[in-house]
Amino acid sequence: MRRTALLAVVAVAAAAVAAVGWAVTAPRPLAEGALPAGWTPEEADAANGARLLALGGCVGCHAAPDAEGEARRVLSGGRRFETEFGTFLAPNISPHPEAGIGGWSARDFASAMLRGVSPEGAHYYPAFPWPSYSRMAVGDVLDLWAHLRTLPADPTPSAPHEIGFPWNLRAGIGVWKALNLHPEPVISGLSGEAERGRVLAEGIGHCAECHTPRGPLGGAELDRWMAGGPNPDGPGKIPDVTPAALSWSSSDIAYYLETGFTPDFDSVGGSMVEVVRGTSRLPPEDREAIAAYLKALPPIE
Amino acid sequence: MRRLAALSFALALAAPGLAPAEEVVVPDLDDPITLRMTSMKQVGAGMKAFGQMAKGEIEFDAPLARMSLRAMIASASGYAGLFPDGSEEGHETTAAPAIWTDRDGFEASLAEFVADLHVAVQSPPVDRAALAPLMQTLGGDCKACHEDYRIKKN
Repeated sequence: MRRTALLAVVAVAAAAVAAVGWAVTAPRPLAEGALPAGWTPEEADAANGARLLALGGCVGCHAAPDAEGEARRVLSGGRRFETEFGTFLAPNISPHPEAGIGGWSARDFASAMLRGVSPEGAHYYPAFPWPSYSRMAVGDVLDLWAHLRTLPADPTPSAPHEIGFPWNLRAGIGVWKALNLHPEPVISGLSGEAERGRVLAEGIGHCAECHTPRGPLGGAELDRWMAGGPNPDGPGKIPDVTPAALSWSSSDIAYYLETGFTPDFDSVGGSMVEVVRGTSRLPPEDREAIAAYLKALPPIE
Repeated sequence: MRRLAALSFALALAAPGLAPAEEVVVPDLDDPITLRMTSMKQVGAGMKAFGQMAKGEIEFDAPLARMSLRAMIASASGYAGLFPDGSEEGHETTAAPAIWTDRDGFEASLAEFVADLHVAVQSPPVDRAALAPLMQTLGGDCKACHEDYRIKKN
């Protein structure tokens, strides 16, 4: 009885939110004019696209589970992410026209990355880290798009997420998005190397998705930026990487991102191994820029 | 056990505000968790000697390279026995539950590390240039095992 009453209250609240908040929470694809006029993939910077793919760790989530070697170029999806809200399954983002994203336009892709909106106009769950990607430059998104289109197509259909009520109501994501979409820099006022690092770390690198703790509804707590917290995807904790806890030098940080070795020659573990697989492929100046950004973060105990 | 905790605490207090150059784990012969921590640190120390030579922070030293490999293989050969049932928790262990739920995978991962070390012991690095590929191989083994069988706690 009490449960029914509770459900009724939730339903009424949801209806109220939908009625009042539709204007605030409707999916907003990128405007037509946001892309450079007449842009074609041939204009893209292929090396930049490959670099962004590495730093973004797209492969870590979207390759088939346990894929190794050449199979890691096939982004057919299927990896499972168990969270407190349910299990998310990474979709096929290979260039296959039906199973993957081969039928998308550049604007569809940019809307997915920068706005968290699908080509059909639905909100994506933030398991796909669009809150970070929304901080990317349009040109970088297009370079990444062009690079993804050069990878092998795969016909494996994407599997649906396994999400229960009320998290399966996608309208709720619109409310969440109104609260948590912050395309502007989180750490402002940086310049030079640290600012270049900010662009990489706060955007495609999506470091904060794990290294910043989340509030009760799963949004990043911006006032505890990069201060660590519980692992969102398994046992253990994610470390604080602000200068309050991370005493390594800039070159120590850059070396860790290259080799996975800490200054004590302990080695990287857990999901950070996949991150280092990507950062080890970056040009050295990108690792140095990320290190400069971490050193410039406000220290948070 | 309590004495050990007190000792670690005292060590932490001894150097306020200083990042310790080496973390010290006091091994307790009756406690596999402290033994495996000590053993892992031994491998870390060997890798550190390699790393310092590879980066040019210290001169290449062939006997040091050989000794480091010997220390690493001696430690690594004993790893599998240091994770018995009942040692899942304690001393802030960063051993992942997967070690006990996927024992075969864990031991296969260890075996690869020992096999690579065995090859290296038989043909140890003779100059600085030989360190980079070796560190890549051995570091790859560290990462592969730590990816699945280790968790962060702090």
